Amino acid sequence: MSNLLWNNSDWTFDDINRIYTACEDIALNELGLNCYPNQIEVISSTQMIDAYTSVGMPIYYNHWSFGKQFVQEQRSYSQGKSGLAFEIVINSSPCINYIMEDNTTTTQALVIAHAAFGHNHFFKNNYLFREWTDASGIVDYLIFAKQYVAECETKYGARSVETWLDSCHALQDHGVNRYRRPTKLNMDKERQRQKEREEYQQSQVSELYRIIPSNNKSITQLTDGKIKGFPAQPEENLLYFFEKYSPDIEPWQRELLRIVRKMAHYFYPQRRTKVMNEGFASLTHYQIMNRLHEKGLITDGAYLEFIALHSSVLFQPDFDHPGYTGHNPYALGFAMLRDIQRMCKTPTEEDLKWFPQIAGANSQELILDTIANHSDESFIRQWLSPHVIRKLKLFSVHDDRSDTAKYSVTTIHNDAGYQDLRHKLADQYLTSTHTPLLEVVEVDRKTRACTIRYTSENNRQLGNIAKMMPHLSKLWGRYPIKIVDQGGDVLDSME
Amino acid sequence: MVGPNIVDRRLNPPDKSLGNRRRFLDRFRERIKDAARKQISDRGITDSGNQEITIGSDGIEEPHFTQDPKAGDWDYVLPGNRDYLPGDSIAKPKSGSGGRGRSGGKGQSGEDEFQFLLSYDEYLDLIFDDLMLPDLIKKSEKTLVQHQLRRAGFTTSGNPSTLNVERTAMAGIGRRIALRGSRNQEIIDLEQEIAKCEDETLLTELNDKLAELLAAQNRRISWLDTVDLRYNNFVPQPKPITQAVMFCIMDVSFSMGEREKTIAKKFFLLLHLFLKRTYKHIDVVFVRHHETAEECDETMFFTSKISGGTIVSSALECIQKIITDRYSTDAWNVYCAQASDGDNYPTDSDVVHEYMHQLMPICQMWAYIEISREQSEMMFSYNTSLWGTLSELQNQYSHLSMQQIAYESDVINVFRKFFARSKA
Repeated sequence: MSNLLWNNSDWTFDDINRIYTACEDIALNELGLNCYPNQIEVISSTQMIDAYTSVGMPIYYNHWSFGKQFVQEQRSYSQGKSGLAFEIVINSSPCINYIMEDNTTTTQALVIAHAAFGHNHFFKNNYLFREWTDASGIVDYLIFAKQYVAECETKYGARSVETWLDSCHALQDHGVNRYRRPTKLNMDKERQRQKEREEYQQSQVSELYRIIPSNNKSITQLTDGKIKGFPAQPEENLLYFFEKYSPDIEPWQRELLRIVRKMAHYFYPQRRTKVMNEGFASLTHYQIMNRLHEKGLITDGAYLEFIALHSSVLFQPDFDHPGYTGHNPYALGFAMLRDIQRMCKTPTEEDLKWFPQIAGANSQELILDTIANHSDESFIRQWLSPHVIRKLKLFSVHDDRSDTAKYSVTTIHNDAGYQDLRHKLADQYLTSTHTPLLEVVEVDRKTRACTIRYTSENNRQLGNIAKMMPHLSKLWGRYPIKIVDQGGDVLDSME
Repeated sequence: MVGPNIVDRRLNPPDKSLGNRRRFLDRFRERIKDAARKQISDRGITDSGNQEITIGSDGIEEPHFTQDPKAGDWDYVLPGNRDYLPGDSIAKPKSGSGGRGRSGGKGQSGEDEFQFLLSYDEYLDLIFDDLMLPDLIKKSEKTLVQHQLRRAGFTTSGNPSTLNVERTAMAGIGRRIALRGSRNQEIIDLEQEIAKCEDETLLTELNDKLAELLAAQNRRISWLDTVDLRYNNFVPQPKPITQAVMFCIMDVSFSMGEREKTIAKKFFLLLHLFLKRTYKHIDVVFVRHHETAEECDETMFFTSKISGGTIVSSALECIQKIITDRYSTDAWNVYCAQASDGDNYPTDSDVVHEYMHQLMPICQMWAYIEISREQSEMMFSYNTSLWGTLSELQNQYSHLSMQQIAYESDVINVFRKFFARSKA
């Protein structure tokens, strides 16, 4: 009998079991990974569409926008315009891996190596995930959220819950404190505290808008019309601010704001580690599949199938390719991590000049340390090597949007350009590049008018204001609200 | 090493997203409905696949704050440099915003449209929303009573097949406890004696005695008695059923050209779908006629090509015969839908009247569609012979409704006019 793990492209549960065990052996004993226990769930293609239209989670509250995504995905899938993901993996403990029944046995092996070990290790070890998410609590919290939303729908009407969630979702990019560690999620505590919170919050809000001054000092301030210093610091977490201080909104509305905010928290690390997460998972599957082949556990045919799959996932179209949609996080992350391996093994003079820390380092240890302690932005800023820059033929282009005629090329992949390209690419992964910085800077206690300040970088301007104002106004309980720029000029306001 | 926890989720109910889908459809119901109805005119409704629906994306997008793509300075790092050097400039594409940037010329088309799939059932739901067959219940409630059996507790007598084992066993336990009374002192003494006894031979003897006593007790009190038997009880409950027959009458004579027939068929097709999905107990009878009339099946009705002159009364006669033979009017609601181009032999008018006077009183509704010439509505009111004949009856019979269709695209609107739910 041969040692082959499988010899048929139609998999069986026994195959999966054997594959998992073989992968686990390599992942834990050879690669030194440290993972949550795994739960592998086989699903059909419809269930796959179901899964990723409920933001990839096993359970989620109901909302029309997920239905909208569903009908869209279903259309493009049934018309062959797009394929489906091979897997979805959830940052939970146990780590839930959805794998699709249509996958071939080789694909299942790839997927298990990629998700059940690569992503899993990343979730458990990356500092952002460790600080921001609670893997063991998330599923319970989702159950709580789903039940709470359903309860609200019965109590307050499906329509009003739906429109309120619309407004909350509109601000879900503004629901994190980027510089403060959040508290952990826990369902029991949530449910227990949710009731107390309702009452407490309501009392806090009225305290804030109390007109009767408590001492002489505030009387003088009141005559000015404004009390300076509320909020004491500008607050960038708009969902948090509305949840705590929005006047005249119902307790359940505060709770929904909180749920949307908590979910934004949970997903925040994923947004900040796309390149590293996918890169590391790709590296892991690459290492595991190669080892399986070396050990004679898979056939050459299966290995070739894997290579074909691997290269299609890691395909990076050039900037002028019709299929170009930006950097492929799999490709970029994989290329950078592979380059760390290369540099540790056979460093060139250039490598040693740029990365003195690689001298004598164990590449796997260095990689595990790197992925534990970086976000995409810092990872690129520190580890994008000249070698990778040359390999990907990176160049940077400056686009002044007021100039309709041309872009100008600023730097290319040469000695003069490496440092600049590194920083520019890292900047591309800063949260502020995609999400405008908005902060609540002032609330007028008399009129309850709220002022939100937009901070512009590089002459950029805030987009979509007109569509967003109704949502802001709604979240602020229909009291006056306005957005100003740094100079204090009003961009838009709503009474 | 512990294996992974592998769960087969494929057997889970597949429609996890159903709630979200329904919410989406509800939210844009009016717009989706309009789109679905417009699409009837340009595509068939017989193919029962998923239907692609296109609606404007207005209100469907979910806004977020963004950096305005039209302003500011942006730097991109792009892969795949060919021969650019620092200082080179690249021409921007003439129109479109992002050009080669991150938004890279993708998704330009269809930005204002939102396309998705509806299942066939959802699609029909939208088309037939708000429509109903009028007066369906009226007659059947009065005259037709069907009985349905309903569970009504338990009874002590009944058919063996309705025996309720659980209840019977429970009754048995109760009876046995009641009949046994206080425990037989003899048995209790014996049990105590056995517990104390140490002599082997005596123990066997005592055990035998105990077994004998218990057997005797069991003989006296039977395990199951006829008084224990319990049966599920069913009582018949009168249930009004809505039973109806729909006659579809189509003129297939020579004067009905391809266009007319297509419109008529489309109308009946809608009608047929509507009836099939709305009412469980409905018979549909297809009658086609030229000079003579005949009952035919669905396929022949929609596909046959026959030509000849037109005598409408032949169809009416045929219907009357079918009603007399098969659908006694005190058990069935009768509906008739008739499509024609309006041609009829002038001499046939009186005969039509005569039949109609017999048919109208027993009908719940008579819907007549006339496929008019494409221009006639706009030019001048032109009454065909059949239109004239029937409209003379309209004063007398309020449940005779007549509509004209000139264009294929009007079919759905006319159809809705007939069956619009009365706003009572």
